[in-house]
Amino acid sequence: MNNKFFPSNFLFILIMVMGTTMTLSSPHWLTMWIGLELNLMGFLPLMNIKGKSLEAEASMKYFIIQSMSSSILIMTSLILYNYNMSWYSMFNHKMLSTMMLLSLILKLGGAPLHFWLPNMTKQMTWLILFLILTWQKLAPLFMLTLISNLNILILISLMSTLLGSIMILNQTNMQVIITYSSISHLGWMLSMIMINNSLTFIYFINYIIISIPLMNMLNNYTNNYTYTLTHKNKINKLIIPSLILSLAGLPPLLGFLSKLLILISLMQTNFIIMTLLLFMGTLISLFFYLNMTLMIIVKSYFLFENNNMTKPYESIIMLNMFSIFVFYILINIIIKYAMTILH
Amino acid sequence: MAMNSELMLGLYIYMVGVMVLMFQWKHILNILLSFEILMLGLIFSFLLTYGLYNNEYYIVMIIIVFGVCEASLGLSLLVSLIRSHGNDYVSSLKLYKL
Repeated sequence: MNNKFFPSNFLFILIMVMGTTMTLSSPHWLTMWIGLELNLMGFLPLMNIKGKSLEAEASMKYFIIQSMSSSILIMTSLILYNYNMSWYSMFNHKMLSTMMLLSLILKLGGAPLHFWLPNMTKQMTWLILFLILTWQKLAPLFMLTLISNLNILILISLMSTLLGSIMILNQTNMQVIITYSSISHLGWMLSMIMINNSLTFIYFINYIIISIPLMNMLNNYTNNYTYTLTHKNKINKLIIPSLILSLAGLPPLLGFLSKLLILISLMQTNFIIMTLLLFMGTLISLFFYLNMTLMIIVKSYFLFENNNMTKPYESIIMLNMFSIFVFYILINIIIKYAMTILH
Repeated sequence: MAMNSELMLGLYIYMVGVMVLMFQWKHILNILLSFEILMLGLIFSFLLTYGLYNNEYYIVMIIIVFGVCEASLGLSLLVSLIRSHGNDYVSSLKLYKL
């Protein structure tokens, strides 16, 4: 049951990917719901891959939450259909669109509805954790761009940024820390979703680029607990701190780039208090990220140790380190060009 | 057209399902059964509103197919949970307590 090769996993991965692509490419709420269900059906067997008891519990919780929220989603969209007899011109009813938005937030694990996510990810495999925190969020984030309900989205984004960064401070489990940091990053994504949703997806892609090498290295070189960061091992003292600080959003790294783009866009639309609160949230979480980097750096007698652990991820890490000098200018040029086409 | 009576009937079944789901604190099998009530309300309201207005009853077939898939998925997860824990009590889930 443990480390056998299952050929059926290729099928499950295919179903998972196809479900999300179906949601992304469909014009109809019913087919979007079908895509979400297909995504869930492909993902749950992948969660159960090792057959441990904790994995069975986590997959049960995940199944209950996801199927509940997608059921509420399709029911609310049916009520909205009955309200104005069309699947396409929707969301003139305030309460029903709020209901739909809250079901999608439950799917994503946003702040008032986030309690299932850290419970489930405790002791989880890093690969499955990565899939939950990135790939499973793609379809609900895309569906959130179709719903326009600004006030509640602002409230949810502020709550998830502040609450995710406050809850990090007391944790010792690595997976839970990464989960809470992803909740606070989700707040940043949700803050942009009504104003300029392409920036949301730039932020999302940057989060994926940071978290691929980070989670892989944490998987290889630490235990589930943070105190293992202080032990003597072959961890690279330059790369992992740079990735963690990139999650925190310190200037020359990739995480700062996406935060800078969102900051400029928020200031241009005059959401001053909101930007202040979002940055307060990241400031609180910066304390913990700096704590983690200090735990790694303190024991380093040699900063540049030569080991081959970063070999497959070198290009992604280079992108992370030096992107701010290239990508900010590139994205600005692209946005300016798009603006000139639109006007 | 705001809330017609057929939709109210389906919504009533759905709300009863949500209430039943909220009060299941002992067995996981009961949670899965209350998901079936939710799916029943969904089928009912799709049949009486969307299917009836547009003569597109095949939509209900799609809903039923996915409901059955979801139910069988939940049952298989329940089997794997029982094989590792020995029972299906909610109180024996230890992931929350770690």
